[in-house]
Amino acid sequence: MTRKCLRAPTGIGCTLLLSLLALLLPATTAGHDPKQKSPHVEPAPAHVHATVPPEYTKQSAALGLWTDKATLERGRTIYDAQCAICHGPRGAGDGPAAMSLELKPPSLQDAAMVAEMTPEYWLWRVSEGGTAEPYKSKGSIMPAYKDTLSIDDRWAVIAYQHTFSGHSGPHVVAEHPELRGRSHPAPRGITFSNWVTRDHRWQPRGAWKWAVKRDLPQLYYEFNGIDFGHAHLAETLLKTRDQDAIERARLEVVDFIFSSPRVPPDEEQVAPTFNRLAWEVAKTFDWAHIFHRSLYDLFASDVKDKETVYRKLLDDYLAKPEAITSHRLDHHVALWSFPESKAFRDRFGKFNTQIWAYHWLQAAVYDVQLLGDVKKQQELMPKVIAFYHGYLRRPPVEWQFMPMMPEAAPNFATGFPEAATIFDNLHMLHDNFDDILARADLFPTLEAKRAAILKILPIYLNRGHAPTDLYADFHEPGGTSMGAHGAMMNMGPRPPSVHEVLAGTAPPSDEPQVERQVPAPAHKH
Amino acid sequence: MRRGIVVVALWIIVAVAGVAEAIDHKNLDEGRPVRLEDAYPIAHGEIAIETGAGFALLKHGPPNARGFFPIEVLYGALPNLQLGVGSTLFTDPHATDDRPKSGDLRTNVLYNFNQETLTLPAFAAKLTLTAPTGVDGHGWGVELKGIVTKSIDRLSLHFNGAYEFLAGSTRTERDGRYEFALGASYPVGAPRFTRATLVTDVFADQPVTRGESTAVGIEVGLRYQLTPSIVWDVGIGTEFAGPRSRAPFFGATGLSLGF
Repeated sequence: MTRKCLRAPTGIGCTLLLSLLALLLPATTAGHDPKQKSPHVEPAPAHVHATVPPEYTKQSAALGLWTDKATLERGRTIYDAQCAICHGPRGAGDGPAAMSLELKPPSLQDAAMVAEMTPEYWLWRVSEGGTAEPYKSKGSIMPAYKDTLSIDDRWAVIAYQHTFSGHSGPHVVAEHPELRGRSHPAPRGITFSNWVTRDHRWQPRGAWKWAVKRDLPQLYYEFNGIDFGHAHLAETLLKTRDQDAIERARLEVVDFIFSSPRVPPDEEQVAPTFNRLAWEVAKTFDWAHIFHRSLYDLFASDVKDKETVYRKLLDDYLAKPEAITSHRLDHHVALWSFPESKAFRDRFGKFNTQIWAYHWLQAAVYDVQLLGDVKKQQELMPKVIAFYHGYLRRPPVEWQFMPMMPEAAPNFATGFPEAATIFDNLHMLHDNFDDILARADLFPTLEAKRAAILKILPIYLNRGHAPTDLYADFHEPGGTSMGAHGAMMNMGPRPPSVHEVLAGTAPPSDEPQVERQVPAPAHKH
Repeated sequence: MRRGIVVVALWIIVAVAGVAEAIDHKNLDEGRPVRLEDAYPIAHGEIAIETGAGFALLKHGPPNARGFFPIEVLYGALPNLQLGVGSTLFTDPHATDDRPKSGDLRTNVLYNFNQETLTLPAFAAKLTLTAPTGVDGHGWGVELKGIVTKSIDRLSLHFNGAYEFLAGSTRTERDGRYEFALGASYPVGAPRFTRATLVTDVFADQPVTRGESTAVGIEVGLRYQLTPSIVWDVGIGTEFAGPRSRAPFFGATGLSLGF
């Protein structure tokens, strides 16, 4: 398919097509109501809403572009000459060259899909074509159109393509609510008060306690560093959005982690503003992290009946008022379609993926622990930690979605699905929270940030799902697990499972991450 | 008896050190190392032992100096509620004219009413019951204390105000007395380093003896997290005004262990 395009006289058009494929194909699912089109029934590539580089986020379409007749006519001329061969004369994806393409062009007549595409994202894709990741890794050979078309011509093509969707007005938020994102849900019965008790609780006791600190000390230190990383980021974002300041904070976290901190940092002292602004979220994080630590201790201990203790710890956790639900939520669409969604990823890519690297380690450790007793864990853990350190040295900015438990730790996700889901939900809540803090334009005051956070938090709370499910519309569609979800969506480069790391087949962690065929889990629980 | 208690305390420290849990090291409790308390109990479910040793140089002897050895066990019995029981031994048990006496048993309950927010301080109340179990002990004491903590970024300000009702007082003793302390705590080195908390206060304590003027002084101390489960503290202070028996210089050091 690619070769044909390269040889064709209209190769430039084919390459433009490939670019648009990469641009548009993934949007198909994202623009649809998942309830209306079950991905189980008809798996479709999902939207890789890749990060728009800063130089394009500052670009904006000229006033009147979308409806200016001369511009549209110029766009039509360019489109007909360079794009229609693959995309079809009316953008339906039915051009003559499209027939031989393995991935059919999407239809630009899909109004829902087009409505979700921001102008700057559109411009970036047309401008950089297949030279940008993750499309380069997908095999796109489209040249960067910034080299052959003026920016005005690129905008003209985009404006003309926009008409295929049937919309004749400007491509702006006022006319495409999808550009604004999904509204935060209105309160559904869970309310928060400014006068609450502090409710600081102690980690559950048991014979397993302190096992990680005692027997896997380096892992214990890594977790101490991660605790600092989360808290330091929150406090920094509450005080600044300056790129340099955020980057300094990121590097401080890396230094802190590499110092192997012997003692867990006091997060109230690291992030005092955050803890007094959004204590409900702080408690949600704290208790989930304590649950994490309790399970690590359990799996590092010589307790025989771990299943029973797991159930006990799970029940203890879920009884807490700010416990996170064990229902699998829709991280990739419903929970990441708010107006602020992806802001942190797009603006602070290194810090974002550094945090995702923490989450990868937190997941990966479980499957190492399930491989054997503490001696086995002591033997294997250094390799996993060293791999994780590679991500810290060079954050895997190619990742577009957070690592999921079933990816990094498939055995744990299978054997302990409630906890795996809780932790995935926890990690998504981190993303939602960071997105809100990253959008000072939408949430300029502390009060506005708190209000936004408290509209999202109830979606995650167990008491929002049990016994009455108040947020069923935020469940993952069809009850899919991430394994199916990942296979279904076009997610770009993904993190390896820990088994790939241990087998030496994972791509290097401190090099650019590329898309690859993810092998089936090597181990069964 | 004093030696026995010290031995028991050391045994407890050794016994729990290996299994102890992470302790809330910034939590300020009375005497560790200064009298200032914050409005927070220990965590629900936590058990903590706080013990140490101190000395006071007295303005008018005899004796010219006094040693003291406090020990207290705390338990986070309910959410936001802490129970405590403890005692303090003095090196000159018969020479102390203040209360509590050496060996008096003190039990207390501290309840935190609310989470501190960016605008709202944290409030707590503490009720302490002193039983006359010590050397020359006489009469019960019932103390009610109000505690307020308000933070500005990482600096926390604390106010303690208490009144103790004294039962069984002799003719030379008051029927009650007040205590006030106002101070601050700050995590030195935060955010990157959060193992040390500096604490200081000014205080005013009314003596039990009638006619004696109120002791006024200042204290400064440091709480340092040695391990996730052990906090070491050290503090010094002076009473620059007050009764004849005031201490121009005093100091204390000790450990808090959570498990």
